[in-house]
Amino acid sequence: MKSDTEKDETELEDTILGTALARAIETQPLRETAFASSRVATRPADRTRPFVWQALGVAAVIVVGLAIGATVLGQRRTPEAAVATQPVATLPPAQTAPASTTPVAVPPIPVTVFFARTGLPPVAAQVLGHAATGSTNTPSDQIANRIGALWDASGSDVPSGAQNLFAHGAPNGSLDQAIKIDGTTATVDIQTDPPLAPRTTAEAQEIVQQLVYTVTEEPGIDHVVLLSGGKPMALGAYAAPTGPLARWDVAGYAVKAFTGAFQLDGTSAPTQLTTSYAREAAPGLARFTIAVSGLPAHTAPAFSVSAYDHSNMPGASAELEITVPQGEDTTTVAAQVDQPPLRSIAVGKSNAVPAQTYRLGLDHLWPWRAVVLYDPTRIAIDIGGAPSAISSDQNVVLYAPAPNGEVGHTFTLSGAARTFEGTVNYRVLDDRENAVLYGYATATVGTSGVWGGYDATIALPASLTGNVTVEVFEVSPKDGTETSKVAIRVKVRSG
Amino acid sequence: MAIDPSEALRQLYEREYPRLLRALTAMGGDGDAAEDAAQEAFVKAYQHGVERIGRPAAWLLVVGSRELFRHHRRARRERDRWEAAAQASGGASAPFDAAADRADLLAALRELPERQRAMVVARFYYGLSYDELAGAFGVAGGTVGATLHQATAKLRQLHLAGKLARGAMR
Repeated sequence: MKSDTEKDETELEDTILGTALARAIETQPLRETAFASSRVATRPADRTRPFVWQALGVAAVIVVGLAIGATVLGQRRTPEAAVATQPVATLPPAQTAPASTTPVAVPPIPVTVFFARTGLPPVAAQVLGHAATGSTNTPSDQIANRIGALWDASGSDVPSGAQNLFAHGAPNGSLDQAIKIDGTTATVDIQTDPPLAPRTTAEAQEIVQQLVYTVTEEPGIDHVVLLSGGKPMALGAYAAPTGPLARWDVAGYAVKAFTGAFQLDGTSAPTQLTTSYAREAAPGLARFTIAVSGLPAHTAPAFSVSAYDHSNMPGASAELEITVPQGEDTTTVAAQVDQPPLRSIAVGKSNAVPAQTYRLGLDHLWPWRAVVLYDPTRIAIDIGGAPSAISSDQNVVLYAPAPNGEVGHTFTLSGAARTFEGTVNYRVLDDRENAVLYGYATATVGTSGVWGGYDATIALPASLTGNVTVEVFEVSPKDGTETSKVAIRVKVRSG
Repeated sequence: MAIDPSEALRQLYEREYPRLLRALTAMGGDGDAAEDAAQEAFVKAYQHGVERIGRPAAWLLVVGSRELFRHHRRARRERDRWEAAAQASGGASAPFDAAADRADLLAALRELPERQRAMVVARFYYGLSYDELAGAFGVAGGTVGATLHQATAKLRQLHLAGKLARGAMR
């Protein structure tokens, strides 16, 4: 028995090592030579033997079908331009550059811009871009096109629950912009009429957030300097940010997303996998769910997850890769999703080690967590969530109720935790900070890199109304102190 | 005469060139040398007669890696450059940066003997079976297993697998 377990662990390690290596090889920065410029195409025909292409086709298809990177390769073509515009300073000059693009007017095609959501990360949406007549397709033009589109976006362009503070109240205004690119930093000088006039600090921050996210949507650009007429950006009465800003600087999360890899040493057995995706599983939270059938009830499946803060998948700037050893998914297909933050999904299989792999291409690497859920057994990849409902050490997160939302006298408390033995404590305080209710819930899995899901039904005393504070925390097994605390305010509906 | 040979050759090139270039770059650490070897592998396939090659993907990989390793000196010089870059990017302040981690993994790959390098790439990146590896590299089936075992043990010995697995368990 012992040796079987060890063998399984070695196999799992090989899975991860092999997957990581394949991934490292696949994502190396490089320049490719198009067939037309290749040595074999430019070489004079010096042999006359006829080709047997049908046979070759069959052989090649078999080999490609076996390849660990088969879907990776299938997905790779589209984002090639994006890869090429990323920092390539250390690369040798391309032996043969791809045919240069002829200057073409940019037609009004949909472009991706970002809208603000109060207390939540910004959300991407596609709106119609500007027709930049006679313009070439340079990154500066693309950025100008996106900012212009954002300036014009209103009404049905704005996703529900979001707002466009950049163009707030300026339907007939004008926009002047000058864009300069230096390496991976874009300096954007914006002057608007009427001037931007945020009403609160939060609104000022959300305008900056919208602009930084929208500008860095351009592949290869990761920092933005915002100016107005050469001076720090004019934001009415509010302090303008200085210095180059990356998405993380304005994301609104106090915690940073984990990059790297970990695995759950759960049960590895042949399983059938099916997937689903919910863009708004909780406020600001996207959830990719992998349902695992074939395991005994309440058994955690073995899997591993790697997070990358860059990606060559279509439209993505970050990526999560999930590997389920001995998993088999026959239904999920590679797809461009455009359901922000998820942009695309690639589905992979390895013949070297039996495993199913999913790659999720994301807008941005929001704080994320891999959660094990039961009844039925699922692996949930949770991306984002309300920033105020994530504990500062990223061990407890609350999904429901929503911060600043309303609840009835009976409601469900739910979230994810990675606490000692999966125990999560909760408490409800009235508006005078008196505890009116106390209890605990048990998450599906205890302390590990992976999170367990928890939920509890809360029944408040009928007399309680108005604003209450809901706290969720861990009681330290060492000294009894309350740690990993999340506290949110909600309003209790009367009646 | 229905199929234009150059069109079919283009299809083979477009199918196999991208991963061949990546595999060779990973093995040698030098973009120029990898490009040269990849181009040469296609020329050799063309001269050899593509219809006589049963498994073009594996064939191109083996021939390409042989081409690559003919230029020992250049490869070694480039490896040094790569390692310097990897060290610079994988500083102590970023213990688990994904990009640094991948650079580490590729640097570790290049610590392996040349043949092991090619086999590891064929196994994990191309996903070839033991039988296919034996055929492609012209060795006995048992040798494939032993070579790969040695190679993965070496990679693990460089603490890479452990580092990957530890990850979030701070």
